[in-house]
Amino acid sequence: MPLLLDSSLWIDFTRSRSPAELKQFIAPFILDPQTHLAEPVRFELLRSARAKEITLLETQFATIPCLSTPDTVWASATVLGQGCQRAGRCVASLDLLVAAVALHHKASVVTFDGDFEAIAAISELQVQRLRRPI
Amino acid sequence: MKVTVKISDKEMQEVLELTGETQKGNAIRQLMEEALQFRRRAQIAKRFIRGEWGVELDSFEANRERDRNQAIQGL
Repeated sequence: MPLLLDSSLWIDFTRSRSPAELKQFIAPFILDPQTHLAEPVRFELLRSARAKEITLLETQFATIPCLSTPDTVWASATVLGQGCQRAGRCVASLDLLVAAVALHHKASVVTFDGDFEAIAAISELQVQRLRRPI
Repeated sequence: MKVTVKISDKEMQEVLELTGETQKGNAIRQLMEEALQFRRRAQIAKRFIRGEWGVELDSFEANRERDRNQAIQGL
């Protein structure tokens, strides 16, 4: 099954101020042959990056295959968002888009973010929720 | 560039099976590209782990917070 690493892992892995222990914890997921990126994840990280940071992130991202964004992503994310809202959970729009891509590719989302569990509760989304070791 | 590499029949068969290719040259090429890509990934990841490379992404949380607040307003 493909793994889709969400932004929370990438943030902790690439930030200068992240403790080495945390980066070591994330590294096996970065190096997993099943690991993939998705366009919404790239977008969320790169939109916050400065010029020099873009180069570093793009260099790492270029070594990781990216799951294609299906034509149905907006419709699927809308349904997921409505489902979460009915369940009384507010989930960020980008997380809904990431989930829609993962569902299309039958990929498991690897994340520190509890919001994906809310999406999984109202869909067939597979989530591997990690806890930071420190 | 053409390179001649000696491998056993058993290894070649395995390469064909694992890559899903039917042509030997294409299968070897695919395997090499994947191996190279993976080594590049590990090499760059090591730079982030060692702290040689690093980013701040200062506006990440603020952007996320704005997105989340919009979702809350929809509830």
